[in-house]
Amino acid sequence: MGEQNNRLWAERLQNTYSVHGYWPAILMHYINARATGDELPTLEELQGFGKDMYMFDRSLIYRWSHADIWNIAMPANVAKAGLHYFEMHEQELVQYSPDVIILCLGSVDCLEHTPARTIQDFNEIKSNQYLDHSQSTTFDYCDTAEEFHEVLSKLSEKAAKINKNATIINIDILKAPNISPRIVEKINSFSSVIRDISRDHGQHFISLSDIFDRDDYDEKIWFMSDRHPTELMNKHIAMKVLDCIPFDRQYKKIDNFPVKTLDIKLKIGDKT
Amino acid sequence: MKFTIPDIFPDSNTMCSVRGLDLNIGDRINANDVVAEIRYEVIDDISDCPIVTYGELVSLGTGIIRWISEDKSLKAGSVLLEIGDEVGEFPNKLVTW
Repeated sequence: MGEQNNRLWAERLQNTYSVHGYWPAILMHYINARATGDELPTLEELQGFGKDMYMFDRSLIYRWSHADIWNIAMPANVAKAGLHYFEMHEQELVQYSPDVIILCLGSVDCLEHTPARTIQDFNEIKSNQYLDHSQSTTFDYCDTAEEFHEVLSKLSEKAAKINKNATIINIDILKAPNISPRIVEKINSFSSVIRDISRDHGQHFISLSDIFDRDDYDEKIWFMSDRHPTELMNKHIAMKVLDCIPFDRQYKKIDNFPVKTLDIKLKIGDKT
Repeated sequence: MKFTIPDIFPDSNTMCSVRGLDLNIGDRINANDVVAEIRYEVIDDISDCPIVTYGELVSLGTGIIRWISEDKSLKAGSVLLEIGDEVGEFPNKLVTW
């Protein structure tokens, strides 16, 4: 079911969005622009990019001229499934040795959503001995802030082990409009966890209020009517993440990637 | 009167989970009582940000409960309670913050 949902969602992205794959795709272009000293491309300039590509394909590393990205984001994912993925593929992630690790978890936990996952969702990189091949698996959402703190702490420690020099960024986009008081309280407590963990582990922290100024926030511009992120929101997230990445550091070149790579050849302004 | 769960996503297939309903047959509910928290999930939304929302279902009238749905997982628009002997819709509202 997880795989089928991914494919259906990819089709929806294809039909709905111009800059496919959300903010990672925009961020890649920004990294390239920053590395070359060019101006950041506008959303208009990125129109048409990513046709037939889907940035949530976790079995691929996407290579631009100045950056490689392995996006292991999983649609509708709870924190415990994220930790499981990190634990299952720690060896491959250490081999990839990412310079930047971005964690954006907690939203689905706050929605109290427990999506079903198939074995395929977890063994794309290599076989996963811990899951029963005949079953789909669900990971329970974190019910309390204490539980979320425990899971996110483990994830942060894992991230630091994967590459001790990595820039680690936690994004908090938990806030949602028009919800019950209990959920408002839950979201606030989960937001505090993300902020505290970022501080305690010396990691970057980006919140919704960093992404948008007060006026935008009031207009609820970050969600469309169906509550999915807009291109504008993705642009703002990419810009904020870009600001956390040090460009004066010498990054090492990796040739032996643990998964297949896909070269991205699109030049800004060249729409063909 | 029928106390129904408001259908806030009328064009979608929405399931509602009723939480915190602590009432019994014979109980009286009053205007402005919080009856339950409702979790709405649009189950035909297959995106990576599933449409889920929460609200408090608040009574806008007064009456004695005659029947309570045993099922606490209901489609939006379903009857949750029967109140009093009159026919028609019992007034309620969904409150969000």
